[in-house]
Amino acid sequence: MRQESIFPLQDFKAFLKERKLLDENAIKEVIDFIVFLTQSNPDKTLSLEELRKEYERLLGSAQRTLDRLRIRIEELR
Amino acid sequence: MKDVKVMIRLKRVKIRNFMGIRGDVELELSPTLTVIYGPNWTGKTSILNAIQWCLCCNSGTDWRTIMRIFDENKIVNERANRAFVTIEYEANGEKYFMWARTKRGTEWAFEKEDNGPFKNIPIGRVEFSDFIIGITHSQIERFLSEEELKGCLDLVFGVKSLKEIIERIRELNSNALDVEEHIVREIFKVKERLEKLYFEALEEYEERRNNIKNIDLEHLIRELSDILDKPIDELPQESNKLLLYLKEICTSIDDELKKIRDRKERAEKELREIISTYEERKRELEEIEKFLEEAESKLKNIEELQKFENTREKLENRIKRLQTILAELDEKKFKLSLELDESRRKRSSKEIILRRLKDFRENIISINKKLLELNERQRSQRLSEVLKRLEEYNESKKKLGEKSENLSEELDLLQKAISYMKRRNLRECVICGNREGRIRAEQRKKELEMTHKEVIEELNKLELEIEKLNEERKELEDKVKEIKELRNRLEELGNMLNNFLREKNLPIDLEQAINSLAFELDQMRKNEESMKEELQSIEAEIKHKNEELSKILNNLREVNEKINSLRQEENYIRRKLAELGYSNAWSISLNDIENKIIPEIEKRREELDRTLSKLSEETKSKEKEINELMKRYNDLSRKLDVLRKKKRTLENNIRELQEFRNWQEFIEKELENVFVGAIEDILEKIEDKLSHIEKYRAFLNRVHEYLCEFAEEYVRENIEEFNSMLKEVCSTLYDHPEFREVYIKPKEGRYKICVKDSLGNELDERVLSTSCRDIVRLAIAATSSIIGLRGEEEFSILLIDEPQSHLDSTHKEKFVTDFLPKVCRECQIIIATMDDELWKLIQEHTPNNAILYKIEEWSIDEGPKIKRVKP
Repeated sequence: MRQESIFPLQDFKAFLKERKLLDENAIKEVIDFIVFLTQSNPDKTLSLEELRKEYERLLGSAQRTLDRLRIRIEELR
Repeated sequence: MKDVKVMIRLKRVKIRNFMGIRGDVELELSPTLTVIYGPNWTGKTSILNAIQWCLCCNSGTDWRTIMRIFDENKIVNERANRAFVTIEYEANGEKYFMWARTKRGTEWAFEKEDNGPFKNIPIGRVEFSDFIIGITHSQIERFLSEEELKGCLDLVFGVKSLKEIIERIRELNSNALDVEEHIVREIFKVKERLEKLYFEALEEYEERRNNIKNIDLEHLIRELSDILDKPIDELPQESNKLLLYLKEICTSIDDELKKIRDRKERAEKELREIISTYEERKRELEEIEKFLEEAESKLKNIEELQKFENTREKLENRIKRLQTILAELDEKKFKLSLELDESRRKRSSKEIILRRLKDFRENIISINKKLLELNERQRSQRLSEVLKRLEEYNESKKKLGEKSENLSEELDLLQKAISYMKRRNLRECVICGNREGRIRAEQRKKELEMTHKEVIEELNKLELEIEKLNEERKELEDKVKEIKELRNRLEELGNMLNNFLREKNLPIDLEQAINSLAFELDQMRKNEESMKEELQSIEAEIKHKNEELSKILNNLREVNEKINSLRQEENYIRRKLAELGYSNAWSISLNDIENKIIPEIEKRREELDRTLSKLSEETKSKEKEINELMKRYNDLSRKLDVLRKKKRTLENNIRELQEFRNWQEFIEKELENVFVGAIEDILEKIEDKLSHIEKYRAFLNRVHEYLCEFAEEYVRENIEEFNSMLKEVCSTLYDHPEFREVYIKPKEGRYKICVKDSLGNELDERVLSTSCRDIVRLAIAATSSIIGLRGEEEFSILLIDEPQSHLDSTHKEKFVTDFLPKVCRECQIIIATMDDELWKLIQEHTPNNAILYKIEEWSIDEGPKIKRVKP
């Protein structure tokens, strides 16, 4: 099995602190995110898929409502 | 793993059946520089590849990377099934082994084992090493692409994993953007669809409204008053009442139409009947006309019928007469034939008797003739003579036999006496006592022997005579016997003849009987001849009469045929008359037919003509009536159709009005529900969700930005050191007169090779010549190796295949004298070359500890033969 490359996490954390770009919580959030990225498949765990499913469900519902309306109009014709 | 600090140097390599190497090759490796020199296609590159392959396998390099470097089909030698590479290496003074092997057809499967610290070298380094280790000519070529340079230098500067994360964040951002764009597009589509539906509904609403306006009841009533020929005031002014009124009118017109239809049907039925009668009469008339035509010609012929019947009677009488004559003749012929047969039979019996008599005569004559020939008396005398002589001879024979016996006895006695005397040697006779007895006895014996011999000869002669006489006697006895038999036969024949003559009442004398019979037979033959002549004349007459009869019969047949055909014609006329209704046609005479019935039929024909013209007039009047009815029916139908159409229009108008009201209600209700209700809610929710994605993307963008900045700084920190080492390495290889300085510059996450001209201007490396660019790449590769391997793990190896291809003589010397000593202080180098010039230079300027090999020969079966040249 291929081992993952080593990411210089501490250096990056120091870099963020040094630049004072973010507060402690935001830095933690970024570092956690990077750790998360190096360990798992982000597409699934970031609930992007769930979001996509939710949109598709809502859009599907809107489309179905329109379809029903269209069918009613056709029937009345 | 980073804490493990080891110094690794390869010590020895054993290769078996790897690529161009057939069999085993074992090489000791120098910790500094190992050079393998040999001509083309002798396995130099295979040795470098074997080392590289074994290192890659044992470092756990990704198989895709291995696949990228090696061709799986070439790893195992063509003439072998397994390839095997073992490397002995030293780490911190300890000796270890690693090996890797594979077999043909296993598709990238290999076995490996490492019992030392090499397997602990982190993959990142090894992946880096994979590149650097493999600095062969072909891999230098890979520097030509900017991407390859980036890959190499990212590893050198330790930002590869950082850039991978940046790349992932960028991909995530891009995915989120795709999702966002997709949703926006979908929302837009839904809105577009909703809008379209809304406008379509509105359009339809307007259209229906306009249609309702077009319903003009007054116009309809005006049209109806014209059609019904009634004043407008009399028609109902409300749509529902007008509809009922129209229904009533339609029903009354329908009834009238039904009546007309019935009348028309009746008229049509009558017309069909008239036409059928007309057709029937017409057929009848045609039949009568046809019959009259036929009757005229046929009746003329039938008149001749009586004449033919008279002729037939005459012919029949004549036939009867002829038949009588023929019967008489036949009887006469029969009688005559019987007489003739009787006469023949009698004659034949008489002829048999005559033949028998003649046979008797012939037999008697032949017996008498034979008797005469045998001479009876002479034979009898001779026989008695022969018998007498035989008796005499037998007597003599007896006497001679006795004499012979006596002589034999005497001789026997003498012989015994002589033998005795001889034995005793006596002279005197023992019997008689004679002194000379023995001699006399011998003389006597001789005399007796002579006499005995004569007697025997005489006896033999006599026996021969007796035998002859016996034969003669036998012959004579046979003849006498034969004569006796003939006599008996003759007597028998005489008796038989007498009996036969008596039986047949013939004269007793044979000759007389024969003569009388012959005469009688002659008479009978003459009678038969006359009877035959008479019979022939009767037969001729019968034949003549038969011919006459057949002629008359033929005539009769012709007459009969004629009569039959005339009878058929008569029958035809009678049948036709019966068909025309004259039921007595079969019983009345032909004259009555001609004189009474035919004129009657002619009258009937005239009547039929008249009936037909009347029927034709009736048909015309009926057709006229039907046409008038049809015209009226069509007028009414048209009127009814118009009214029905108007009624339908009115009904449609009423329905449309109702529908429009329903539609109006629905549109108002549904559109409000859809727009204000469900869709708007959903769209609001979706837009709310979209803001989450935007936030997420903003976060990703921020992290991406920080990471990029961090990576750039990371590279900036290391690039100075790299460029400084590059400058040093370049100084050993590169001495361009114009572009003196070569360095690497980071640019938007990538790297750029730059050169400075003598005026200090920064230029792109593209200004360099091809060979110069190759030298620059070799320098960058060597620098990368040195810098990249200056980590915690002291493992560095540089495999260089044919470096001379980029170098002229000056640079070859520089390569050997400057570059190699400089680089091999930092890492272990293995070079393969075929260049004589370079080889000589290397031999001259060999660094300490270097090992040089020369491949002397190579064969496809045994692989390379390698000689160690130095030390």
